[in-house]
Amino acid sequence: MRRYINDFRIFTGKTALITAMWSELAVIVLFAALIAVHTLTDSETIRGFCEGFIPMFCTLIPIIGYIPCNTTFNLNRAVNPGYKYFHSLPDSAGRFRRALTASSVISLALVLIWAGALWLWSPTISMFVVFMGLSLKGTQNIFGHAKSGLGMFLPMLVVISAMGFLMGFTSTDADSLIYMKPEGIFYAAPAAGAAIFVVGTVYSAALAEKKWRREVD
Amino acid sequence: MDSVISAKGFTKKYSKFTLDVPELDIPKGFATALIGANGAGKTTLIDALCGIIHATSGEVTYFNKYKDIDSTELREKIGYCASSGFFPQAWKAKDIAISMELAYDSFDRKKFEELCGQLEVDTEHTKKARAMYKQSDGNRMRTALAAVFARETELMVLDEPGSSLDPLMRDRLCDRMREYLDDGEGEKSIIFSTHNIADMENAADYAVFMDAGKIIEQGFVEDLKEKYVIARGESAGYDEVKGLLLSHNCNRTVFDGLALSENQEKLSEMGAACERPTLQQLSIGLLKYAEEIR
Repeated sequence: MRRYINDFRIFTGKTALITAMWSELAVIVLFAALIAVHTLTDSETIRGFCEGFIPMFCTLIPIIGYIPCNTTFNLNRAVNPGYKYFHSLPDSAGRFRRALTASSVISLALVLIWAGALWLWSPTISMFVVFMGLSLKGTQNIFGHAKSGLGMFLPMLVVISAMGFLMGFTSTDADSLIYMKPEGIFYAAPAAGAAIFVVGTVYSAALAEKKWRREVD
Repeated sequence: MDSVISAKGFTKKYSKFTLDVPELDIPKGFATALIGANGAGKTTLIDALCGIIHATSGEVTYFNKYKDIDSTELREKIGYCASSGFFPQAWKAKDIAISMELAYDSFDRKKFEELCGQLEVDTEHTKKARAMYKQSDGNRMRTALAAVFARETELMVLDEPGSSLDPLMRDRLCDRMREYLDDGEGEKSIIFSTHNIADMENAADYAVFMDAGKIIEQGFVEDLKEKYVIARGESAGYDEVKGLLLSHNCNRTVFDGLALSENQEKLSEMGAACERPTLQQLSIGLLKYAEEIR
């Protein structure tokens, strides 16, 4: 595992991890503030605002997990400075594969830590976060090797839209998402996300070395 | 002559450009300059030799031993530095140190710190160190050179190392390259590319001249200076000597041009004065000649 993390650090230096950590911290602070306001206020308007805003805010959590891996994928593009350095490294293709796998695991860890904490407050929201985090990561891994930036970005939009659709589909006026009990679709969605994640991670790792070598030609 | 790199039938084809090197031998223990105009194929050759891009065909032998550039052991021995944007733009000196220390067994982090100090760029301990994108091209190149010289290598491959440096720093780079070769006691070699040889003339022992993807001449600089001469004379005699000149400049009063030394006697009889060329004159003469016959 140490080798995988080291290879990830070779590709990202210190910057990507720090960016991810600062982003994580910023989201934690904002999230905690929203929950505090939601818990403490008596105003129905503010509570409603929080209940509407919090699920949207949840989309940021998986995106934080998206950053380190996106950075790694981007390094294999000849248009980006740094690609010659990475291609000159010993065992660069193998290192790229391991860095991608490590970044997927880091993304997974970021999402699961958040989902675990959220579970204590709202299991439904937590399930959505797991669904989106894993689907987004898995989709990114499937399309990450695409040469076009749009090819990487569009699937991400589809996943975010799917989450919005799922939230809209399951919530009712009478019952906020926050208080809904997780059952049925709420378990199916994270399971589907997990499947996408596993498929995507295995696919991207299997293709990484081949793509790494082909990119330079 | 021991070769650090020898290539046969080496090609790299793009849709609008082909690098075609039937035979190339880079001598071991010397500094080899790849000289050519923009687009001559210097970077393509360097990148293909260092495994940054893959050759279309051909065989390359490194250190008379290795055939596969993807060999980890071989890559440890080669220090490669690209002409621009070598490191990611968001990186600072610390990112470079972390990455290179993990990637290479021989990277000396302390030496990197020292070299950064000597080359007057941010070190990893500089307060508020700047990311690469906030630095000038020259400083980025200095940082990249510090990083590559901080490794223990046997072959240094530098793509246009002097092009973004100021004259003083180019001079220091030449000294550094000489030190590197001296430390190696004949075991270390350097390949560098340039299209402005004037400032790096002292650094080159062997020269490979390139034009339109082909090698037009190669040899030890001293041998090439023996092989060619610069002929000068009054423009009145230009028409007579023109046939013996490979490339030439002529105005209303005087002419000069590059010629083969074997024709020196004939040129003297025709009234032209011959002198030993500098590498700069040799480069211009050969590249002009190649352009004319292309």
